[in-house]
Amino acid sequence: MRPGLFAAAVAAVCALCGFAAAPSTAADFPNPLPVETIPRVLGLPATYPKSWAFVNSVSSLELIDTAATAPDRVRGQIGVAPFPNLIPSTRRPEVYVAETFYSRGTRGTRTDVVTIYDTRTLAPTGEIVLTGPHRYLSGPQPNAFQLTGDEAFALVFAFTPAGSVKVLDLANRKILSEVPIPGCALIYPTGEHGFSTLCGSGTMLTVQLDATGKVTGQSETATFNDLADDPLFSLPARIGGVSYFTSFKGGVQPIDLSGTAPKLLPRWSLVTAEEAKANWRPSGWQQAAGGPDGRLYVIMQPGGHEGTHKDGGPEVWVFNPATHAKVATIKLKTQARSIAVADGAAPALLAAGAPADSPLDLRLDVYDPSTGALTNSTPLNGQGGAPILFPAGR
Amino acid sequence: MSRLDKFAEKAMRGLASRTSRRSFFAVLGGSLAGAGAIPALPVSRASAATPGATMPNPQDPGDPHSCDYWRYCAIDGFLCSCCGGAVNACPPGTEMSPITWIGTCRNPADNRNYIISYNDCCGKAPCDRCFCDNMQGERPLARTQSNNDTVWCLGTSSQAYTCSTAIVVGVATDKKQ
Repeated sequence: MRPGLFAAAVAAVCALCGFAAAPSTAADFPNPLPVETIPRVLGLPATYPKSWAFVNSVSSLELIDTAATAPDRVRGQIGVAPFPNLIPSTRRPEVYVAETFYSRGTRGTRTDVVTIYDTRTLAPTGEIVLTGPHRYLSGPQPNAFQLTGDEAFALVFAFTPAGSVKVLDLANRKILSEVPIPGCALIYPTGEHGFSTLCGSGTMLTVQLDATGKVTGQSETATFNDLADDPLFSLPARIGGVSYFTSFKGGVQPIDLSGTAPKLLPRWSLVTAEEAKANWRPSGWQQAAGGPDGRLYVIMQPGGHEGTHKDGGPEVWVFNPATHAKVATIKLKTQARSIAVADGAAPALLAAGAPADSPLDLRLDVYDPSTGALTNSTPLNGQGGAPILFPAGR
Repeated sequence: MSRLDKFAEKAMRGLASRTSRRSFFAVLGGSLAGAGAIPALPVSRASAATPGATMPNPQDPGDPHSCDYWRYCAIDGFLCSCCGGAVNACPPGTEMSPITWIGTCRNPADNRNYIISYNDCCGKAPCDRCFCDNMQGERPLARTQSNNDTVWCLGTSSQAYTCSTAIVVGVATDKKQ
C-alpha cells in the first residue's frame, strides 16, 4: 500500500472510531528515542514477591507471577531436559534441578546431573554429575528429589528398579554416598540430617546420616500403609514438622518427621459418614497442601471410585489439623489436580487444572481462602498435565 | 511447542477421554490360573509377550487406538498402536523394556480378568499420539509393580520414553475391589 493511501485508511478508521486523525511528525517529538543497550538481560530480585511460584511440569520449569495476567505472568524459565525435578533452597539464593541428558538426544551416553541455578539470574552456577544407579524418571515427583532439613545435603531417589538414595554435599558439590533402600521408594526429609521412605510392606523406613553422608542409624515403623485397599498418596502436605498423608478413601495419616525417627500420629478422616457414602475422596497429583496458616488443604472429588485417584476434583476442603474440623470449602471455578498455598499478607491458594470440556486449557487459578473468591487466573501455556507448584516468595 | 509440551498437554486430553469411556471392572492381585505364564518377580518381563492378532478377534474386542480398549484399563502413556507399533509390539527402531509393571483388566468378551504387562518402548522421542492415563488398580510407587507414573524404560540401552504397550501375559482369578 502506498503511504498516502495508508494514511487515508488510518484516518478513515480513526474517524469511524470517533478519534480525530492527528498525524505526528518529528517536530512533535524534538528528541529521538534513546539508543538502547545491546546486549541486555533482565535480572530478578534477591527475594521474590509472595505471588511468585515455580511450576515444575513433565518437560519444563517456569517462574510464574500468579498475580499477573497474561502475557506478563512469566518471569523466567529454567532450561531443562525432560522429566526434571526442582527443589528451591529456603536458605540460599539457589534452586536445584535434577536432570537427565543423552549425548545423542534420545540415545547415547546418559548423564544424570543436579544443576545449581542462581535465583537472581536463573543461570546455572554449578553442577554435581551423578554416578551409580540412574535417577528415577516419572511425571513431576517432588519426593524423588529433596533436601535434608538443614539443607546441607540434596537427596536423589534412584531406581533401577532397585531403590537407593544418593546423598549430595551441596557446599562442596560432590556425591557423598549411595544408601540402598530395597523395597522402598521416594524421600521424606526427617530431622536435620536424615530421610524416610515408604516401603512396599506398608512401613516407613528412616535413615539418619552423619556429616559425611554415612548412615548412622536406621529404623522401620510397624505396618500402617494399606497399599492394596486404601493407600496413602505419595505427596504429603507438610505443616511445620508434620507431614499429612491423605489416603485414597479419605483418611489422613499425620507423621511427625521433625525428629530422628518418625512418629505416627493418630489417623483421622477427612470425611463424615455421609460424605464417605457419597464417595467424597482426595484426588489429584499434588492433591494436598499445607498452608502458612497451619491449615490442611485437600482437593476433593465426589463419586470417587477405583481408578479416579489422580483425576482431581472441583472443591478444596480446608481443615484445622488440630481439631480435624473442616473450616472452609472452596468451590473451584476449574477442577484442579495440583494445589499449593502461598504465603503473604494473607495466604493464597494456587490451583492448577483444566476445565472438563477443555482439557488442554490448563490454568493456574488463585483463590482467597478466607472468602473462596477467585482473585486471578493465568494460563499455563504448553504445560498441560499436572504440574508441581512451588510457592517461591519469601 | 515442543513434543514434550504436547506430551504433558495430552495428559489432559486423556483425562477428558476417560470421563466418557466405558467402565470395565478391573481387579488387583489375585493368584494366577496359569502360574507358569508369569515370572515369580514383582515385575514382568517382555519375553512373556505373544504376537498380536492382526485380524479382528471377537474374543479381543475394541479399538487398540482408543483409551477405552479393555487392555488399557491402567495404561499411562502414548499408545504404541498409534506410533508405528502395535498393542503388543514396539515401533521400529525402539527397544522394548524388559522390565515393567503389571495391571489387571477385565476382557468384556470372555469376562475373564487378564494380567496385562505395560511394557514401555524406548529410545526415540515421545510419540505424542493417543495419550491415555487410566488408573484401574494403579497404586503409589511404594507398591512399585503397580505404579504407572514411572518411566519404565529400564534395562534398555536408552531410557528415553517413546510409547507404551499392553500385553496379555496371563489370566487372573477374580478378586473384586
